[in-house]
Amino acid sequence: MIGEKELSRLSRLVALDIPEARIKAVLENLQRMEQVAALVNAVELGPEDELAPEWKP
Amino acid sequence: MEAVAQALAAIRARNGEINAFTAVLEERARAKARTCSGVLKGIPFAVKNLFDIKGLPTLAGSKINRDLPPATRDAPLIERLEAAGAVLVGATNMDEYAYGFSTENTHYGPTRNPHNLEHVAGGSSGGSAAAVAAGMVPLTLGSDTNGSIRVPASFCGVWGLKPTFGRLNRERSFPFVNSLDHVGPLAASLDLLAASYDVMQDGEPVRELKGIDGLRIARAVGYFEENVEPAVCDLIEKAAEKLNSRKSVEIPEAGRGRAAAFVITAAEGGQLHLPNLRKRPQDFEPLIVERLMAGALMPAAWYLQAQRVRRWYYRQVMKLFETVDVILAPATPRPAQKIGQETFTIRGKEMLARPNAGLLTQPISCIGLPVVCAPVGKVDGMPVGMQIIAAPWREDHCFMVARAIESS
Repeated sequence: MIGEKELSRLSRLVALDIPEARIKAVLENLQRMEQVAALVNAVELGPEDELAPEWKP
Repeated sequence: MEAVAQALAAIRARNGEINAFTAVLEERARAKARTCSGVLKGIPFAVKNLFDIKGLPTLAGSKINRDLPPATRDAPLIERLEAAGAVLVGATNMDEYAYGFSTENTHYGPTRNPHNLEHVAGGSSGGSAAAVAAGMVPLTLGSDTNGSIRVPASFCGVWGLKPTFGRLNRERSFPFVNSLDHVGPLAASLDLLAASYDVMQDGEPVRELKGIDGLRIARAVGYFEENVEPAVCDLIEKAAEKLNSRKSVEIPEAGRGRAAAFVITAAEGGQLHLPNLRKRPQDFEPLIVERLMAGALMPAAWYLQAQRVRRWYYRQVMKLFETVDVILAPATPRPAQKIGQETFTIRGKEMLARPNAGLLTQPISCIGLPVVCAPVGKVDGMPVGMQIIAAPWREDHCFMVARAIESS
């Protein structure tokens, strides 16, 4: 499960300074997202499952 | 003119307690009412405040957007409705940036459910649903990314339409999740829902469609029963019986479909607001700011996997439509919770109330299927709605079944 250290690194990577008072709540949200993402990440996909949204000009 | 005058009076009388409207355009409405003509002549309507209205900043439920310059032109759906004679009377309240299912908005106040003022109206198009349910206007526009037309329609006991993804023009509406945003109407009657849809869309009209002979109708079970209170399931079963439908289907991998929509929403929503999350986090809605921040940190690998899983899930669900034309499912797991309520219980399991109001809608909007949300009864005195779901671009099937439900 993602912890505060990972949160700090991720926030630096996107230049998002998270105020101290918000860290706990952001972490809880990200951990919840991690749990939900696990359902998605467990799916084995094939090349027919398009890699990215198709952009139509 | 009379209908518009009545609407303005109803808004004056009830908006103080319901808080459905954030702007009332009395002068514009009265001027328009004098000259309107068309199939929707004189029908007053309102729009969720993420649609551009000429002369107003497009708030999208936020404080930050108050700083935007006023819109220079109405959204195209407003233009279409007014060209058909409908009269815009105002803008309605919503969850900030559409990231919610309850319209508990700290900046503008919660919208209250007209059936019980202590309960939420649903969201994020809560103002639009409540305005119809309270009899202020018979027609509103909302948006639906993960359930934001269907959840409030269900909670407020009104008709709602989330069309096929891409069917209705989203231009000049403030976005939330580009991959998932839909726009559509909510209405006091099925006929008005259909009439307004026909005015806004470019496909075959649906208003005069009748009859369900030959339509293969099934009730969704599995995920769509396990995550629903028994009393709500009973109402869906009764509706299916009225349609002489005895078939049931399991929508495969609905939980993973919902998860994919959740991940896509978090990532795109967070990324959209990242500049302001950096500069002015204190100006966001407290109920969503940390969720947006978390979404902005989400690894790209999760997001791209979710987009691919969406396509995988879609292929599986489309196999169902080889043997079924319409699927019936509850719109919400239970009726509206109280304002401020943090958790609710489904089949004895306690869970967070706000995100889980969309448990049943997210798997459907994830893959852009058209849905009419029909009021089908009450549980503990509060309305609940049913999703009438069809294959992509088959809104005609949704409306045929909706007519049959209405007349049963």
